[in-house]
Amino acid sequence: MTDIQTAEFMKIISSVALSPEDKAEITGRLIKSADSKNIITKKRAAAAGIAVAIAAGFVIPYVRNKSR
Amino acid sequence: MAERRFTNEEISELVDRYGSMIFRIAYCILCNKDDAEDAVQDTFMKYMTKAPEFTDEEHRKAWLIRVSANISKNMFKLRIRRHTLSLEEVKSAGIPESDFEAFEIISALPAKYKPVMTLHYAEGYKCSEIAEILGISEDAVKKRLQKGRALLKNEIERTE
Repeated sequence: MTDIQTAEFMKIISSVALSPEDKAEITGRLIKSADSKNIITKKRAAAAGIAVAIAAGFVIPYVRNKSR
Repeated sequence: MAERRFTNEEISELVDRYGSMIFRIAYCILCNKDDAEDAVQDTFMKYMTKAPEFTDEEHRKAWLIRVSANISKNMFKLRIRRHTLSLEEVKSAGIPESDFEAFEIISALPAKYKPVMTLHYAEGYKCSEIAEILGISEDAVKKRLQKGRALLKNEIERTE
């Protein structure tokens, strides 16, 4: 490949780019995905909270009884 | 409330900084704007899910290049290949109308040679750096560059 052809290749490939609109669209989709992951995490956190509450409901009275 | 690993600003900064570079690599392999955009998104999704630790910015950039090239090559293997490029599509990827025919020639190169050539000619990486990024030997990089150049030369001469 001659230098001119190499330069041509570089010029063409370098001109490939995401437009600001495409960037905004991709960013939006990624933020949405991150948010939906967050909901799952929040649900998990809520489930963990319920488990702690149930455990506390059993454990605390049990410890109180034991200490009497 | 559980915390998200990346803030909206971090995601936006990531796309701003590396979006076009990843798109360039993906587009050269896939020659299709929609598929290349999907590859960009998949690369960032993988980054956000895995949240790998990096020693510096170059390390992070190399990881993104390797992952995007692998994702694009896998997509290329799986999808039904289109053999025609439309002028509108190529223009929307940023390529000037005057370069349409030349890009058609580049797109005809086998997928194996395109990431190496893109990284060398468009991103300015040395053979040793490309070898490290793509996880192949330096000799393999040199051979692919040589073969890629020869294929392009033949193709250009054939069309002239």
